[in-house]
Amino acid sequence: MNGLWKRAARLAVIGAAIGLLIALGFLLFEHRPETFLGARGGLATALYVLYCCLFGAAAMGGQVVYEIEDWGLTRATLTHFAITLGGFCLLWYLLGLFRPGDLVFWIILASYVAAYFIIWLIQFLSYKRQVRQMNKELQKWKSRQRPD
Amino acid sequence: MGSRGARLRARSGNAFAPIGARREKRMKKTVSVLVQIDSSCDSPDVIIRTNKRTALVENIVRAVEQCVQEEAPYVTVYQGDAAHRIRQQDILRVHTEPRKVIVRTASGLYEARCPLRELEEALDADRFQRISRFEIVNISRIASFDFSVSGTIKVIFDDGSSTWVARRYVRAIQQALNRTKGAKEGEQ
Repeated sequence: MNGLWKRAARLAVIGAAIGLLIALGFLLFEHRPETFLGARGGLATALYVLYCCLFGAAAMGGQVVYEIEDWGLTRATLTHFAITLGGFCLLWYLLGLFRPGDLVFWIILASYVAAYFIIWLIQFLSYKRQVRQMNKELQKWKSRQRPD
Repeated sequence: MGSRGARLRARSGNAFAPIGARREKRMKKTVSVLVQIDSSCDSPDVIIRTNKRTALVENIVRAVEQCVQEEAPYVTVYQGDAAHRIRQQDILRVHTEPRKVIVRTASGLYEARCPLRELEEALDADRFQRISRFEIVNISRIASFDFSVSGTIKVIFDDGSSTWVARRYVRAIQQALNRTKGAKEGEQ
């Protein structure tokens, strides 16, 4: 587990850097938050940048769930989905964009769920194909061996 | 020499063949065995030179493999304080539990008193393959692999028991299953 934590920490640093770049990119196009965590003005902007860094760290660092050996693909995907969706929802809420009554909100949410489902499906089908191939190779391997 | 003798020689095409002698059939040489002593070899290499794979060649290959398998060392394991020597081919899998290395066979569970890494070095590399950080399996005792909706890759053994494969070891398992095939194709 030590190795996993170290890897998570390294990925978190990279994620924080990416979060910072994305936040700065949004600010560059003058999408400054009017309010954030109850703060206004420059403090809101700073908190917003800080939050994006933390969110990036959580999203990237959370990828190590795919490397936990006794977790299946579905469990790892659901866990990472929960981490990132939780972070996104919190960000929307803090930016005042969390409006369940708004259709756009649900479209964005559905797109997010669909994206994760597609990622899971691609990986699932890939491993399924590999396992099918392994079964064929196993039979060939056994036919080449002398019976015990 | 009479004319009959001349006719015999002409038919045989050999002017020096004695009259009435049976032509001996040449015995066809089947296999030549050559042993080369090379001090740089760590382990014996068996190379079979042939123009095609025949039943005889297959029998020779099997005979060599049988000798190799019979040479594979036993493994000493324990049940309580009692030591047992078990054949490697009887082992289904070896896995770790807290402070223990468990060797599982069809007949029961044993404990190995060495680290998993050390045991892995003692096991036949052609038969045993690591499937996770904590487990090594005997490929010849695997019945099938299964992939469930939960996304876990299950290994089912021929005694009905099962365990799971870590996804990052899938490639290593594929290479292990293809390893012998690659070597044999190289010989053709």
